Amino acid sequence: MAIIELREVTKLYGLGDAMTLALDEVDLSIEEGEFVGIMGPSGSGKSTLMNIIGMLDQPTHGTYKFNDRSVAKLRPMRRAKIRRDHIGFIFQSFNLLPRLTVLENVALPLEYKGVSTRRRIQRASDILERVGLRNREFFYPNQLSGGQAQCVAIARALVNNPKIIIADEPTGNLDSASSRLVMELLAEIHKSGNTVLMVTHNPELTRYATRVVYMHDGSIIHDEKTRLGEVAPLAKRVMYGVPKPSEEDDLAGVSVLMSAVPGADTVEEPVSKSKKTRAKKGKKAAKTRRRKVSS
Amino acid sequence: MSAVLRGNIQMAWASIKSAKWRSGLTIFGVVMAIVPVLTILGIGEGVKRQINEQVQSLGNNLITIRPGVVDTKNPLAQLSNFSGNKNGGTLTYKDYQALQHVQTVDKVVPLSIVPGVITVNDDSFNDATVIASTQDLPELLNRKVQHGDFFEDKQYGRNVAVVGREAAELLFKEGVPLGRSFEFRGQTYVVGGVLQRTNAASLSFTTDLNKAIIIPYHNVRELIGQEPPIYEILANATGDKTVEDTVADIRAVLKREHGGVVDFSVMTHVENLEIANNILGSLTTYVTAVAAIALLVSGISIMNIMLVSVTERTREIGIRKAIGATKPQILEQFMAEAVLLSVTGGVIAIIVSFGIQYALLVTTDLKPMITAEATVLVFLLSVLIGVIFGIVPAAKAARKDPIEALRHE
Ligand SMILES: Nc1ncnc2c1ncn2[C@@H]1O[C@H](COP(=O)(O)OP(=O)(O)O)[C@@H](O)[C@H]1O
Ligand SMILES: [Mg+2]
Repeated sequence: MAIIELREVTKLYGLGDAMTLALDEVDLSIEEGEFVGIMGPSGSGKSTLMNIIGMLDQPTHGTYKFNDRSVAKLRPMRRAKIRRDHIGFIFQSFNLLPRLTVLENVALPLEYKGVSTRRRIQRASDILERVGLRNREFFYPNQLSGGQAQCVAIARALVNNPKIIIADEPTGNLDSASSRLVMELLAEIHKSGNTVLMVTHNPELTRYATRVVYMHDGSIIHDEKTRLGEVAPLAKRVMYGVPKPSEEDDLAGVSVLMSAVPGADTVEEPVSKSKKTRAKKGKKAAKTRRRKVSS
Repeated sequence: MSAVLRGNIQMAWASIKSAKWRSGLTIFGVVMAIVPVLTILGIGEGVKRQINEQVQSLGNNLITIRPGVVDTKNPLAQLSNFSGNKNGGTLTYKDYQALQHVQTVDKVVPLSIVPGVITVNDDSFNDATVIASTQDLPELLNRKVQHGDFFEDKQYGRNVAVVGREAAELLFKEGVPLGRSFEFRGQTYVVGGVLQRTNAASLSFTTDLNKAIIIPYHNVRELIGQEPPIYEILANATGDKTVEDTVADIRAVLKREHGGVVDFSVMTHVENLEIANNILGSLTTYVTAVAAIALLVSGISIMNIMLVSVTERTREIGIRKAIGATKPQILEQFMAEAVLLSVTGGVIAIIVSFGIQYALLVTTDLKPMITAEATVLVFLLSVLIGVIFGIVPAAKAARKDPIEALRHE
């Protein structure tokens, strides 16, 4: 049984002229224990997808079932508690609270759960030990390197023993040494049975994944299984096409990705009637986006 | 206390401390609003107690006659009239003599203030109050002569004086200056008695005899060559009829003496104290009104800095929600901060008010008394301000959309 099940999930932002189609009828199911890499150019809807899966956001249309239960039917309070107990978020910009110490940051989800101070400190310390930052407990976030800060964020995400870890470009702000450290941690978390979803721009990092999902303009354009330790087949082709993936090269990356995707034409060339309308919507959305960028 | 609440209070402290100036000024606003309330409540309570004591010691037999018409209903207006005495009228020696013959009146004494400078050895004292009166004064005021004797009317011509305890200390630097002398308007007076100290009721119009030097009324007539103007006549009722009857009798006699014009007031001691009470009452009302506005302003300033704080910490709110904070938990966090601000103000205000109470006790005649009830009331008031003015910003924080909040820089 899939732990995460999305059916025709659509997300619209804004109104009228400024409307953006961030997700376009996305179908996706994720089994427990998978390590899913999510790739795609900026603005393709990766973060939106992560936020919806993480229950920070809700789809405009479509259904999302978590553990076979419809998320839309849950009360906000319940969603907050699922977020707290079953989902761990890791962000590109770490998102630690600057006024709290490392230990307090890590213990915060436990505080919201109502765990006693003593046990909170114990548990947070243990987790920090696991990410190798026990000796930084009483530091403040601004006293840490980027890699250390991200490890603290990972510790915080892990502190409640969540089933699912959602990492949105966790290595985006890190040098390669720190990236490796973070990835090793995520690999370890995965190995111990957790489900990991990770957005990345770096094809190299698909080595850690068991599955890679490629997004473009709010749709999933390709979805492939990959073997641990190997760069995903499609990602490899992207990698050689674009030596240094960066913001600037993103658009070039898109074209390489598009040409690399087997049967990517089908997205542009409608096969069935329903696909036709969807493609039109996608184009329209892309236009809106371009307008927004130029203005 | 739940872990979240404790955590929230710690967070609130950290947040208050991180914006020291802003928080400090807001807390200052709360302090400035609460201190006057508590101080006035304390003074009011003190005066009430003093009045009670006086009623106990003087009974309600004492009657006060003053020149001018006192409006007992609007005593504050009266305050401004006392100096100028626009209502006219004077009391004279003749009035005093007439009252001595009223059937229902037992004893009568006139009180005059005699201007002049007292000299002891070579030190002069301009601020000593010299009162001219007659022998029944101590008895009328139920005041004992602690050392020596009060002068008697029949000793007419002898320059003796009776002093209050504070006047004794002031002039002679000793508590019992019996037999010592001072110069007043070219004559030498010898101290023949020292009055027992009493707690004068502040705000009541009875003269504070602790600070007075009392000389025989008849001497003064000689001294200044005319009838000294009488600012107050004290009398008491024989008790054959009610005090009100005696008051009516006095009124009738004086009206006749004054050619049918009522340009004086006759009041029982109780009425006198009621005036003091009324003055206090109106004063409390005014101060409370001003304080209410000050409280409103301080509440608004709490709301203001909380709104700023919520906006500044939008991202923090997003992060907290992302890691599982529920709406009530976010609400609580910001409520805790608002209430902590106002309660800190409240506690400081209580401490400051007790300081002011002590200062007033030492430096004035007031005997302010901040009660436990007043303290609790003010504390609850400060909690209430935090709750009322913190709810809107806190609700705003709790309602924030986590996605929007996380995108916020
Ligand atoms: N809160 C939002 N309000 C308006 N538009 C948004 C919002 N979030 C995302 N978008 C738009 O939705 C699209 C997808 O964004 P996002 O999911 O962040 O893409 P990615 O993470 O792949 O870069 C983009 O065009 C973005 O501008
Ligand atoms: Mg993104």
